[in-house]
Amino acid sequence: MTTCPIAHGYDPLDPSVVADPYPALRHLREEGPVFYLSSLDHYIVTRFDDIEAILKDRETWSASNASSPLIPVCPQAQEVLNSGFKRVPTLNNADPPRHAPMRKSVLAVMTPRRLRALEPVLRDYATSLIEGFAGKPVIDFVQEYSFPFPGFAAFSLLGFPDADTDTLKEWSRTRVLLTYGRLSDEQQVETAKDVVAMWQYVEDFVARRTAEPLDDLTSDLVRLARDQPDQITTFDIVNIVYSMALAGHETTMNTIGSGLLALLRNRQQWRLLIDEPTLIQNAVEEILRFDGPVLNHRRVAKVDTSIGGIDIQAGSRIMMCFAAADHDPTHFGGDAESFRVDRSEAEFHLAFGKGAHLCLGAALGRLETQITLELLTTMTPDMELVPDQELQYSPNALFRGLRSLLVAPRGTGP
Amino acid sequence: MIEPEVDEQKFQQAQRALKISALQAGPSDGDSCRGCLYYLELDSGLAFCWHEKLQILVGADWWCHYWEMADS
Repeated sequence: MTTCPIAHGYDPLDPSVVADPYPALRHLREEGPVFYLSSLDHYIVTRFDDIEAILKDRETWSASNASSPLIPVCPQAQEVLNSGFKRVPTLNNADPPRHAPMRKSVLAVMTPRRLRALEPVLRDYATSLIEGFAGKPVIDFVQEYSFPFPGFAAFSLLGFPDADTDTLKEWSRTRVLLTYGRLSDEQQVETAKDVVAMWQYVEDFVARRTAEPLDDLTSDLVRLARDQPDQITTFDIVNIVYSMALAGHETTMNTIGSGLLALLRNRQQWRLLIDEPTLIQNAVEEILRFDGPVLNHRRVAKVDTSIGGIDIQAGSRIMMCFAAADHDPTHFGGDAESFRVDRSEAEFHLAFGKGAHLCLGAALGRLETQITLELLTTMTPDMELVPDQELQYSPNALFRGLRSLLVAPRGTGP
Repeated sequence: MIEPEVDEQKFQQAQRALKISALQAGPSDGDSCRGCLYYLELDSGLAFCWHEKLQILVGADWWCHYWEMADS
């Protein structure tokens, strides 16, 4: 056992790291398996094998801090949250024994049948968004596609009325920054108000579906709760629906934006997808590996333990750096930093986690990304990046997402 | 003496299945392959897993992260 080295000078919220975290992460991964980050009081774990072992070991590691604010919110914002935000550990931040009934409930209702039923709806909506590019020399792909599409998908699945979509998206816009970024006190208060508003919306929505279930995932959860009241309650459903509305939206938005950027920057890979559409499924995995939507995920040690020979005390918080692990050459080879849509080991990535906390929305996220690539490569094969644009990413330490991506669509015909 | 022929492709497929599924030789939170949608031979202690990502023999008391509740 040895003392943990300190990650001097590394700040995941530094603008240069937010813009491109991979060089710093490569350096950390090569230097050692674990570093202590005093500014955030977390240990950073960078290597694939260590992270995989942590994800699979729930005796040693708790997920209870997975959704906790990275930096404590200011008292004014906390007061707003206390006034009406009642979220409790549910899926990604729940440990045994609470986790299993939540997960089983979602698995029971998020069936392949429901996803198959949703697919044509998603394809039509995505097509209409791309048709909207017509006649525009330049579009912001994030604003016009990767932001609205996953929101529509998640909200359709849950059953939120179309008329509420814009309001829900507005409430979701800065949510991530409250938990994982550095907002000013004033911004925190405004975002906290949105959080409370969205929570109250979900409470009301679940109450409506409880009174009159329809054909959507929320209604299926309501039916399940009636049939198996020992498994989930109405309050659990509110927590699940709230979590899924946010998680499904943010991560897939990031995947689609980063994916298109990677493809258009690597024109040969884009051409390969156009010529060989059978590669699209693997391309989705490579996008998730190469520039995935989740940079870091967190755990807290339940007992004294060690990672890679470094002592970790009970109660210590760790950030598992998925972005570093998914570029680990011991798993992805010497060209792990390259983007290759035909990479055979692409699907070994950790973008959706692993083990009991494997992302429940993985199938939906993959479906949305696949639909997007199928449509873009056929409807806008000549799409190009606008040169010399300054790419802006969401300034937070957990999710990697473009704020805008300017592209020239150059035609939207088949 | 004839050396047994190693089917490298089968080995690689099995390794791949293990790697992506987090398959473990024991249950998780009380769930195991026997109660999973893709484990069809309920009376058998060892059976073929029909999940598209696995398609290998698994034990009734094992578990992986593709576990889905069997239709009741």
